[in-house]
Amino acid sequence: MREKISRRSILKNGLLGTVTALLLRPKAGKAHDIKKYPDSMGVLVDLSRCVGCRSCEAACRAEQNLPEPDLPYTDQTVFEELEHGRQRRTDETRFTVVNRYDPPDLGHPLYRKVQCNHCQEPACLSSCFVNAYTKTPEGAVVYNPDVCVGCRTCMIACPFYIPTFKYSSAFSPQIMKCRFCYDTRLKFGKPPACVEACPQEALQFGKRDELIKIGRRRIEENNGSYVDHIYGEYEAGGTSWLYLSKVPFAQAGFDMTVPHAPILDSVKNFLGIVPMVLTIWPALFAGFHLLATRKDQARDNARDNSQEDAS
Amino acid sequence: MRKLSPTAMLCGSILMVILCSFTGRPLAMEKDEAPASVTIDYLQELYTAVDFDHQMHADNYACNTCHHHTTGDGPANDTCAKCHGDSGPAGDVSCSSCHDRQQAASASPAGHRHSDVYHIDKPALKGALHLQCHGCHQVEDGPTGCQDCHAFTPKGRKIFGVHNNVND
Ligand code: SF4
Ligand code: SF4
Repeated sequence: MREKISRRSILKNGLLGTVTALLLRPKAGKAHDIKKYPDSMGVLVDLSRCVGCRSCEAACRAEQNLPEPDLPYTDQTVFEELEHGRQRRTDETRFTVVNRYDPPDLGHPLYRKVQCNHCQEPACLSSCFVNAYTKTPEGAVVYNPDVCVGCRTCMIACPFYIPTFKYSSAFSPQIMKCRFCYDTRLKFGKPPACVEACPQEALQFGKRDELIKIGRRRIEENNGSYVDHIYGEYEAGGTSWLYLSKVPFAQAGFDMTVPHAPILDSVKNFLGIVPMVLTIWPALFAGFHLLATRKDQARDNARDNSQEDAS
Repeated sequence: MRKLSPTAMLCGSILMVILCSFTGRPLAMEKDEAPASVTIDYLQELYTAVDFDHQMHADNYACNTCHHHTTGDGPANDTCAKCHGDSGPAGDVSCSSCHDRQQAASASPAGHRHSDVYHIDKPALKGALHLQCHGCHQVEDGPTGCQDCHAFTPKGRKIFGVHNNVND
C-alpha cells in the first residue's frame, strides 16, 4: 500500500525537516545494492526490426486518451521535424515518439522509439522529495499528481529527458510521462498498448530477466550482426526497457555517457542537502505564488484603470 | 487462409494419412500443388485482409525462403539446420501452424511445449508475417508501406487519425 500524502502534510513536514536538518548532519554517500523485483516485467526493443510505422504512437494515444496530433500517424514528414535542432521528444501530448536516423554504413534508415525506460533505480523517483513516484513490483515507474508540488526536479534528474510538465495546469501541477500502461494493462499482466500494436515484434514484452537471456541469445545466434551489448542492462543502474541494435547505439541517438551506476549514486551529495531544501522551498513557493498573483493583480488594476480612463 | 470445401479437406486429410502410413513421414508438397492465393484474414482490426499472391512468390523463390524447414529443400538457415537438417517436410506448412496468434507474455521455456524449449525467440504470427514479408520486400524492392499491402478499416483510420484520403 502506498502512503497517502497530501500537499498540506508535505508543508507540515517541511517544518519537521528544518528540525531534522538541524539535528542530522548530511551523510556521506556510499554505494548500495539495486533493489530488484525478481518478477518485474520489461520490454526488449530490437531497433533492427522497427520500420517506423508509428503504430505504437497511435496505440499509445488511444490507450492514454491523449489529444489527437495535427498530422495523422501515417505522415512521415514528422521524421524531419526539428525543435531547437533536436528530434522530436516526448511531451504532455505524446508519451512515445519514433525518430529516424541515417547511420552511414546501413544503407537504409533506422528508427528508434523513445519513451520512459522505467529504470530499476529511477532518478526521477529518488530526486523527488515528496515521493510522487513509485516503482511498482511489476516494473512500472508511476507518478502520483496528488502530492506533486510542481518543482520539476525529476525533469532535470532523468538521464533520458522523459518527464514533461503540463503547463496548462499551473495550479494542479502535473508531470506527464509514459506509465507502462500500468493501470489499464500491466497491473493485469497484459503488455502495454504499443507492444501489442507493433507489427514487427520490434517490441517484446516479458520478464526483464528473461528478456536479457533472449537478447543475449539473439546476439549470439545472428553471427555478429548485432552489437554485443544490451542497452539498459546496466545503463542508469538498469532499465526495464532494453535495446538491441545492429549499428552502434550512438548512431541511433543513444546517450552513451549515461553511467552504469544508478543516477542516485551520483547525486548522493546533492541529496544530503535535501532536508535543507525542504525547509526553504515552501517559503520559496509561497513567494513565487505571491509574486505571480501580485503581478496579475497589478495588471488587472492597470487594465481596469485604463478602461475607466477610456470611458 | 485458403478456403477449401469441407469435403475436399476431408479427402485431402485421408489421402495424407494413407500416404504417410506408407512413407512414415508427410510427403513434400510439389510446387504446383501449392495454393495460388492465400487470404490472410486472422487479424482484421485496423487493416482489412490481405490476398497474398502465393503463386507469384512460389514461382520466383524457393519454398524454404519462407517456409524454413517445413517444406521444399530443407532448412536454408544454419541455426535451423542444426536440428532440422533432415527432419523432412511437415504435415501442415501454414505459418499459423507454428507461429502462435498471441505473443507470449513471457517467453519462459519452463512449462511450454517441447518445441518451444528450442524456439524461445520465435515470433508470434503477426510478427512472423511482417518480419518475413517486410524484411524481404526491403531487400527485393517489394512494397513496404503499410497500406501497400492492406487497406485501413474504419477503426484503423480513426486510430491513425486519418480523416481524408490524402494520406491513403
Ligand atoms: S527514464 Fe527517466 S522518467 Fe523514466 S524511470 Fe528513468 S529516470 Fe524516471
Ligand atoms: S509499431 Fe513497432 S515497427 Fe512500428 S514504429 Fe513502433 S516500434 Fe517501430
